[in-house]
Amino acid sequence: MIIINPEFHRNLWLKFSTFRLAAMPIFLLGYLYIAGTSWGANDAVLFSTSLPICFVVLCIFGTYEAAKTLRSEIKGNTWDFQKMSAIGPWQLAIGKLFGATSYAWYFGIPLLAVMAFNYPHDAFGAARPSVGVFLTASVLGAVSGHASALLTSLASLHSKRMRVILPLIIGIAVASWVFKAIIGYDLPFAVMGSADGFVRWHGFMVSKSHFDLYSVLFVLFWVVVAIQRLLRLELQYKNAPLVWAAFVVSMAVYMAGLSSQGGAFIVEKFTLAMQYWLAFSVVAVLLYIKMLEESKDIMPYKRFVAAWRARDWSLAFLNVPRWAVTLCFALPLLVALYISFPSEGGRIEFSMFHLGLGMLLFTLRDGLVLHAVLLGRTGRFVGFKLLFYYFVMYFLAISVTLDGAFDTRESFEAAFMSGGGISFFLPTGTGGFINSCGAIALQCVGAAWFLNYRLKLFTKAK
Amino acid sequence: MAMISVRGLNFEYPPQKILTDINFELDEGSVTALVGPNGAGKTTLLRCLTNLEAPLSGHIEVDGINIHRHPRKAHRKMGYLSDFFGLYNDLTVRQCLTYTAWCQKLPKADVQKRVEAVAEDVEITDYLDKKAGSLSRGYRQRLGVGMAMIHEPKILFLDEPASGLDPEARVNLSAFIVRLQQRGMTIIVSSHILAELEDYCTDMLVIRDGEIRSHVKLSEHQAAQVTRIEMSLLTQNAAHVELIAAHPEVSQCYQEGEDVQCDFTGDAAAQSAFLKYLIQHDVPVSRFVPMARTLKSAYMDLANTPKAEQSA
Repeated sequence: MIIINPEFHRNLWLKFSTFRLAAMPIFLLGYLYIAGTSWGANDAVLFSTSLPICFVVLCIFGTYEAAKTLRSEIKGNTWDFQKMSAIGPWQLAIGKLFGATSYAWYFGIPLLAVMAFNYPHDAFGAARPSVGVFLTASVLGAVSGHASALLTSLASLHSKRMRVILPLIIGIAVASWVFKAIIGYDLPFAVMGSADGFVRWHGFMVSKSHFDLYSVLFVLFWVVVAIQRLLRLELQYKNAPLVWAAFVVSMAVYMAGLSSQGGAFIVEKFTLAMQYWLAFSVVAVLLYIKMLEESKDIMPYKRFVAAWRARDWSLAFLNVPRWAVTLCFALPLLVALYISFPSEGGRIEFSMFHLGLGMLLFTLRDGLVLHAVLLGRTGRFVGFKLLFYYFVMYFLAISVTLDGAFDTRESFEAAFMSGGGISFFLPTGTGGFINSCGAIALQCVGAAWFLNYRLKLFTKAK
Repeated sequence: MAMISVRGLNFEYPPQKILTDINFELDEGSVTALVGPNGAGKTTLLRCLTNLEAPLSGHIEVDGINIHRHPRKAHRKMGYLSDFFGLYNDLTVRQCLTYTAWCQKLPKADVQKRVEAVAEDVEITDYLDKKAGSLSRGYRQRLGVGMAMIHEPKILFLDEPASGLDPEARVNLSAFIVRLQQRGMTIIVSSHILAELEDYCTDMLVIRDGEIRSHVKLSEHQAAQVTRIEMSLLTQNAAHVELIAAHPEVSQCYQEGEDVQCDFTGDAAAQSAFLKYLIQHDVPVSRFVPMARTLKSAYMDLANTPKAEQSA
């Protein structure tokens, strides 16, 4: 017996009963017979009737299987056995990704073959993808959907409310998006592409369809790496922050490459500055996501402090908060932005540096407040606390501040362009340092005090 | 060399401290009873020892391997059966064992031999082609233990292995653990049923409120020949009790009405001499019963002793 991967093999045992093995050919032959006798068996009919079946099997059923595979381990109390085994995170990741979805592939691949043999070249309207592109889109779309669902379920593995529905929805959405992107049916980077059908990326001219394909492969690579890294944590390996750093850099490089697209607001001389700006923007978003994510668990911080006090530097390095690592990339990019961005003349004082600094300070404020609130003693109502915070800070406060801002040009400029009231609640980059960043800097000081106060309460309560 | 060495282990579920500054060492081939009341931290300690949970701080070494730095290497030395373990119900017993053997990276050629050997060991050979979901609780337990030890680990951790088993299955489990002990396996068993641990335990770790209150090496305890002697006196007289307590081989003495209990260090001859000594001193003994010191009595003594005295 050939053992490819124990986890994959176990899934094959579980998924392929005699009944299930027989069900697929019976269904397929039955379907082809009905199609041949009742619907005329022409290419277009076979293709158009197979497509929704294939979508249900590969995209919905396959994603459901991927989404529930970890949940069933937790529910069935078998996860500890896997964690105690010698199986590695890569083997586990690949075994789960392709093992859990094996029956969907067993069903889906013959359907794809039927569609490939009966492929009408006007299948997707004006996009007119070739059979090869169609098959690539289908396979990559399904794998991306399955991987996204597995990643989402892994990320919420220890949540008390671990559900299949969210990973399922995310998986289906990703699968559909990837499929459409590769087919060229609905270009995701249309805004970046020029009218000649090419995308300029770091000076390279790449056709839109190829660029979409490479982008999907790039994202898929990182999704699989993320699955492997989370599985490593489950298997009690310590993840060094280096892979996260590599991810941040690769995202920054990817985004920066898109700076040279033709566009209404982009002028040639700003290209370098735009590269920094795009790189900075994506790093700032990742910083925000990490701050939000890490605010929910105090234990990594405690482990970091314990390791630091024990002078175990390697352990401290392994436990360093990932938002701090991300910040290490955001700050030099901010400096680069300050140096490279040409100052803007004109009636309104606007600075990309101030906008970027404002973004960082808002991230810092939110991070500090969320740490103070969510590191609380009970850790309950996390979702509600988050919603309440965002409702107050980014909806209620802004609505009140902007009341009347759109009435006249002067009131609009007062609110937005001179770093007026709105700079309390959103980064604007207008009106100089004090006007655009002063208010948020003060809020950061207040948030730091609040966090310190909560930590003292937290320590006393023990 | 200690097979298991734990230093400064702390574990928290914020804001609760579950384990506080745990330190102990267990010898190779020892069978340790991990005992304590519900919520004392037994399961969490076992999960930390098996590296299923990451502690806040502390060091754990298993057979000289730091389990935090080399989790997979350490796992090859360990088997673990949790209190609420699960099985792949739709797989046969043979498939369950084969899958576990593959996961433990046993050489391909040895897998089937090992599966059959383990099945024989845990006495489920007749059920190899039955679905795991169709097994009774006792046989599920056997399969779970079989899966935990398919890779011939040096250490086996069993969390409440007897819970839910009928009396016959419990006896079989005890016999099985004795067999493993004879092969030199180091075993830690967490259980509430102290009478069953009596037959095979060499050590007892008492855990309470997340702290190790006592580590009793039962062999040393037995070597000290500490025997509990229960006596009944015809009259209640403080002078008689003082006389008993003053005897050089009596370590502890408790009185309740006319009944007196004492911990006596010495063999049967010494016990006989002690009885003679009491009669010579006109102590009106109407009953004199030397009791074997059980794990349960040792645990209850520790449980009733204040924390400060235990640490002293």
